[in-house]
Amino acid sequence: MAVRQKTTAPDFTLADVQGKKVRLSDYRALKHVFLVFNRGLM
Amino acid sequence: MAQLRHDYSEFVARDAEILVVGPDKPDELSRYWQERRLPFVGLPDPEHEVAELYGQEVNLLKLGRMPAQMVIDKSGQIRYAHYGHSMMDIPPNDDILSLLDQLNREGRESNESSGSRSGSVELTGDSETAEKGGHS
Repeated sequence: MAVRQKTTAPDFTLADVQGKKVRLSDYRALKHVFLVFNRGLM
Repeated sequence: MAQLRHDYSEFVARDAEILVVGPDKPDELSRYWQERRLPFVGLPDPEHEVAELYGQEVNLLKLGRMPAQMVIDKSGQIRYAHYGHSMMDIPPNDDILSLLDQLNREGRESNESSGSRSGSVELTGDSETAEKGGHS
């Protein structure tokens, strides 16, 4: 299912490339987020 | 990715962070990030957990995931969502940067007009309705 504009972004937590937990909602009230989904490197 | 790195300071100047979610294994993505010294956040998602949450498309003919981009504002709302239909179907950074400019203008206006409604005319369209009412 594609997400729709003007709805609340589904929250998630993933470990980043340094192993640090990153939660989307941690950016709330602090920063806008440009969320990019890649195809993959190979 | 090179383009994102090139324009990263423009994103930062607009109060935005870039999070890149990739289907790669953590060690592979980590190596890629280190080799290229990418300044933004890289998030390996080998189980496609977040990709599925956001509906990233999978093209079985092209054997892979199609690119997708979202802009989420400071209040947590999705303000832009683009689902690419080919590998090259990626919006130019300038489009994203001008949207961020717009979000920042909205933010300033809502701060200035808290208490009075004067700053939000452009966004609500209330003024036009009021004007029409006045003429009839």
